[in-house]
Amino acid sequence: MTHSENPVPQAHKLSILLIDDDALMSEMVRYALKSDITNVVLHVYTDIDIQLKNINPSLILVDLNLTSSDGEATLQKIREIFPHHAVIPISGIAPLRIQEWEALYRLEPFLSKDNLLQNLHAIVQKKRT
Amino acid sequence: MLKHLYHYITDIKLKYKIFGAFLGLTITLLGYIELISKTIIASDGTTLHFGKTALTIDVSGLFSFWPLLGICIPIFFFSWLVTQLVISPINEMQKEMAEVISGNLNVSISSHHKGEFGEMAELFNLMAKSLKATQEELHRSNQELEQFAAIVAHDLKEPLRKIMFYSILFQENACGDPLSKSRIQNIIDVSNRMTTLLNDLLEFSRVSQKKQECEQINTTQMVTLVTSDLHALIQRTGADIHIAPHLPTIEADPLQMRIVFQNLIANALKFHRPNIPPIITIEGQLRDSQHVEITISDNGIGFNTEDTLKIFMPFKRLGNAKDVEGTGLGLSTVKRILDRHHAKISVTSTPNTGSVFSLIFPISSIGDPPK
Repeated sequence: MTHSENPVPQAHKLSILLIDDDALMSEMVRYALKSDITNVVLHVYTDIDIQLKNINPSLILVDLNLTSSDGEATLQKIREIFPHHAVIPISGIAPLRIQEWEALYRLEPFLSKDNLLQNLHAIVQKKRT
Repeated sequence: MLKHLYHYITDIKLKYKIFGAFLGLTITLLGYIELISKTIIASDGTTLHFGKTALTIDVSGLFSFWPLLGICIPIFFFSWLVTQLVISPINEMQKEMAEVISGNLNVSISSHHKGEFGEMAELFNLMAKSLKATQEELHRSNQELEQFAAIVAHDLKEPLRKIMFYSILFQENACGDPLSKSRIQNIIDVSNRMTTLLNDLLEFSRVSQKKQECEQINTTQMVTLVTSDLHALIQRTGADIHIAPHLPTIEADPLQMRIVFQNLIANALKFHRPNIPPIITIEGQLRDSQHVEITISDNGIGFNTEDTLKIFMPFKRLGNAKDVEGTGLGLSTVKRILDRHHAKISVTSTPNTGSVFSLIFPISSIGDPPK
């Protein structure tokens, strides 16, 4: 499921990939970026899919508690598909090994879903600059 | 005196050593008696007759060095032999017991012992096996509890997040109705409190589950980092924080120590007296040859001495702290972390004057002493 709406040319938009099987998250991400949503292309997937290879996102938000796989397996699969992209791990609670994973899979700092509304916009702005 | 006597009487090792010595002495003396019964000492005391053989020797030297050595060697030999035969199983048992005390339950006493020692060894091995099984069961049960806490926290937070998010959306669409907006704000506030409570509960349960990764921590740097994390709260309260330049380096889990300082400094900021900006001082000193101390003092609301124990209990909040936001888990988490580091926390406090929290770390876990 891909959303793009606005007058800004597609090439200048920031492409964000969200991988989360919680439907609320896409709503929350859109809400968090509402002031800037016209400049963002949001790709939403509920699982690590082979079709992800066709996307070239600037930022990947990935839930570490997907129903289909555990946190580390998800990160391994993400890094296989996107070896060099910026990946922000998200979850309701930080996994015990998050620091180790951040170093091992070269992740951006963990973002708690509790703080997503407050922080996502700033993160995206920083990414844009 | 009686106590010492009782000790000597009941000390099994000592008894067997004495028994060995007596055995050695008896055998030596028997040897002498056997020798003497076959000899005739002449009236001049110099000629010994061994059976039919006559030998002239100086018997006045019977109690000189060499004969005495002849007595002592068998005494020590038999004493050593009895010790080896009888006491070595006790020593082995003591050694294995010390291993159990130090936490190693992979112990067993060799089964070649016979008699009472064999039975004791068998019972000891059964006891160690049973302890190990109990320990494994406890570990498994703790792991299940940790997983349960994580699942509960995660699964409870998900619907809570939905409540909060949709409340925010509703609030935006409340079309300027102040009563509706205020009621929705109440839902958001309660959801926020519930989220904080679940996070604290999870952190509390994780303290003892998470593997400690200890390293040398420069506490001056860590405290400075924590105060920068608390920048917004410091600004809001107008706090003045003094950090001593050379706090001691300690060996501890940095993540857990950060939780400790974060909780203590945040408390000092939150529990300030009305209209009096907090003044917080963090210092460190060598307490004695075995311990180093880090103190965090404030000029806050304080509390009565009789409440000292209560503040470290989970969910306990003191009467004068009810108006301050919190879950009552912060200090119990701090204590739990310090217990795991073999460190101690104590507090002295006076109502409406302030509190001094003192963290005492054993010197073994310390890097550089404070300058």
